[in-house]
Amino acid sequence: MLPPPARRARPGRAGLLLLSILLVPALPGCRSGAGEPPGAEGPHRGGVAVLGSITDVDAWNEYVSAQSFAVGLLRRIHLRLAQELGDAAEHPASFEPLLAESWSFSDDRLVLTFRLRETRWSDGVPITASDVRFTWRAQTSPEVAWVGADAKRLIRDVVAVDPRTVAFHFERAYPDQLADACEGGILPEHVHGRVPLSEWRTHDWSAERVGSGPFLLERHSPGAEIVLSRNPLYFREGAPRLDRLVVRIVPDAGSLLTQLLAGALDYVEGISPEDAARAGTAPGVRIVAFDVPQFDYVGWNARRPPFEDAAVRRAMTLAVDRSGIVEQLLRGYGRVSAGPLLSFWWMKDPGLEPWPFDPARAREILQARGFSPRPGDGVLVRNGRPFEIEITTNAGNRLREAVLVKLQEQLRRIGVVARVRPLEMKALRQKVSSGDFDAYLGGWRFTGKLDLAPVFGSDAIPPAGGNVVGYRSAEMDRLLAALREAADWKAMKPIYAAIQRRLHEDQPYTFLYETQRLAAVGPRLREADIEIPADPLARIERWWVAD
Amino acid sequence: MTRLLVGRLAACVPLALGLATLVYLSLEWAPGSPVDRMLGDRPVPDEVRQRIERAYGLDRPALSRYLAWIGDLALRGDLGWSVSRSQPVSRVLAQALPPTLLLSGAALAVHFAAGILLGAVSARYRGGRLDRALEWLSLFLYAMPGFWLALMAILCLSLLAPVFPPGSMRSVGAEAWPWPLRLADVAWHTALPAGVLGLGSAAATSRFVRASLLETLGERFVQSARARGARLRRIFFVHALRNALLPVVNLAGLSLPALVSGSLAIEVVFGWPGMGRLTYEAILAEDLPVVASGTLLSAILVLLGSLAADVTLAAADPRVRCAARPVSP
Repeated sequence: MLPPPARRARPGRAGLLLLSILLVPALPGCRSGAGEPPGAEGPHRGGVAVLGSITDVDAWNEYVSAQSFAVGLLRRIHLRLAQELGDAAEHPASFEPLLAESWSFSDDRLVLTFRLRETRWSDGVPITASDVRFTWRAQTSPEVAWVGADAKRLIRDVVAVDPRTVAFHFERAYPDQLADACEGGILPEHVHGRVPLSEWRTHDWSAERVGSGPFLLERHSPGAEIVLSRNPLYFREGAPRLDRLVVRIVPDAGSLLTQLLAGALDYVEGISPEDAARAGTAPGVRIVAFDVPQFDYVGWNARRPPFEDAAVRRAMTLAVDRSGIVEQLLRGYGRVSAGPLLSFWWMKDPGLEPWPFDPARAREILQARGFSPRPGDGVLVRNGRPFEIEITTNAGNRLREAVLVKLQEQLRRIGVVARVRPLEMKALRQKVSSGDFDAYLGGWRFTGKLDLAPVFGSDAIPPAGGNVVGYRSAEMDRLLAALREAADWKAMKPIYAAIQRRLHEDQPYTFLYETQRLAAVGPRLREADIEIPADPLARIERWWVAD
Repeated sequence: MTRLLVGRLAACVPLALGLATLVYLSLEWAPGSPVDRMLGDRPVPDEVRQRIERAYGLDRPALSRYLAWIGDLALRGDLGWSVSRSQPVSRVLAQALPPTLLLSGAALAVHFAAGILLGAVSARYRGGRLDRALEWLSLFLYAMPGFWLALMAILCLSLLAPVFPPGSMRSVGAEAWPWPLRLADVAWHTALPAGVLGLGSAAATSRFVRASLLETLGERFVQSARARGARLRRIFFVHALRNALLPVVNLAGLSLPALVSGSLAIEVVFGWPGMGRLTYEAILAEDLPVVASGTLLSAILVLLGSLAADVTLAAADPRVRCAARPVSP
């Protein structure tokens, strides 16, 4: 008979636990100290990069989600037919093939045909034209109510010609056809098709993990962590370099930065200019600033006196020190805006300079329009009525609230009394769309193609459209119509230039500043370059970590 | 006692439902909608906006939405759908509750252990240097806001001397480790937030214990124990401390709701995925079913916590038990 095992010789559970506690800080995954050693010399495969984010993913379906962060991750899971590149400064952005290996237009440009790459979903099922058609049906479904559905407005039908050929039929030819066709990731019909379109907005998509991109969703612990792992069936050989991508959700910007400095995070996007200044001095931390299609403005209600007069609106713009706002509030991470066509877009008019900060000229214009300073307090008065306005913005946006205070102070210097009134978003939207405002500070964030007609056309004054300031210009209407008819981007360029000059003179809005987005990259992470501003994670398959 | 328990438990239901109703309707009638929060600055046509509202049932009147929510809750135990997280509310709560229970449980343990220890030491060395030093320490910890203490703890113990991780609940890749390491990893990540949360609350408790202990030390039964020649240590720990801790039991019961409500500041600073953050983010996103359900859960726990405190006190103190019995004429 064998003797009983000598229990005392083995560490008990408590001992094992104690040993574990002592060992945990020494494990490779437990990075808490700053300044990792540089490690490997060149790019290599493997490793885990840890990203930090303030927001969590709201839905694992691009057509239900409304967050740019979520869409940025989903683009790594469900590829588009082609990827828009960031080379749009001199000409419309070119496209890099993804699920499509090539494409061609019919002679009349009404049909755009894609030849699909011979590749598979992560579960091994081939990616076919039927998936593309299914995705288009979902994109245009009123029940799904995708916020980007406008890009598909002129697509009449999508036909699966054969398993690897799909044809997009358009209502008419126009310059953005390719961009519109490629907008949105292609979904697996055999997975997403199991859920009726009417239930897409109330379905938990985190369980549907089949993808075509470099990464797949491995785990999502809401509010805590997202883990994406390499897709073994990704069509590009050797990509991605990282084994895993971990996203840590930390809802406080200061804590995010602290974790980056402590070495617990490798990449944090969307940090404030103040934090960038702090992080930039840390050893090995790199700050990357990149342009985003977004700008802030003040809209003047042209249906209310005195803003029905373009000269008065120009005077308002001259009174605002936009360079000062960029320097002081954005710490230089931005540009003074000359108009709605951003300075890094091919449509911009390079010869157009923003109005300067010139309060003396602003005063002259207003005096020429019948305003005179009231003795004592210097407030401008016309026909016995003081120049008093209310400027509103959405409450909770710290930058805009700070800008509003600056505006108030600068307008007061030319004799205009501005009352500032931050409002909750819905209340602001109702106030603005009903025309019940003097001026409001808002912003535009472009997520798809640019369409100026619903914002500046006379026929787009609410309730018909989004021309909330009530701007009317016959010349603008003519230019917008000409833009619709333009056959290609070369024909559009002079029209865009004329539109910008008209807006520059009329100033229905004071275009304040274009903001840059900032990312902090930790010492371990390499080749984390942002080539496509609209999609900062586009090149994530090239990222690697030095361990 | 049984009648008391049944009566108190029965009162919990309408009280908790009333509170959840108040929260739901007050938020419902506040300006704004989850769709506005969701879309922000995006130039989205009104038609699309209305379709999204329809998909979530947000196009119906506030009262109708509330009645549907309360009806589903009563009939099917369904807490509704979270618009901001695209998941059923019950799952959202089930994900946030365990981290909060862990953090708050650990913090509560730190809170009472440190509070009682510091209070007892202060009382033992009353008027001495140690007592004065502990008084200053307690005042400092009590006066400092939780988020500041948390940031300082991270600065000192994660950045300057990297002893603890600066946030999160586990290390990267920990899910593949053997269970003792996983457990130790969670303990390692919990130590700093629980320490900060617990020590902040321990400050007040230590002053409370000190005062209670000093009062008890002056009682007749302590003097009589001393007269009988009992050892000082026994008098202090067995007779005085035990009696002085009875009010602390009550305090502990009232602290139970903190187990589920979580600490917003600590959870935000440490990136801890608990109930405090969930409720805060749901309020910002105007995700009413999550806010109302979280409130309902907290309300039930507050009531149960207070009931548990009463029962524990009755069990611990015979005088309370006697007082609860009807007096015969």
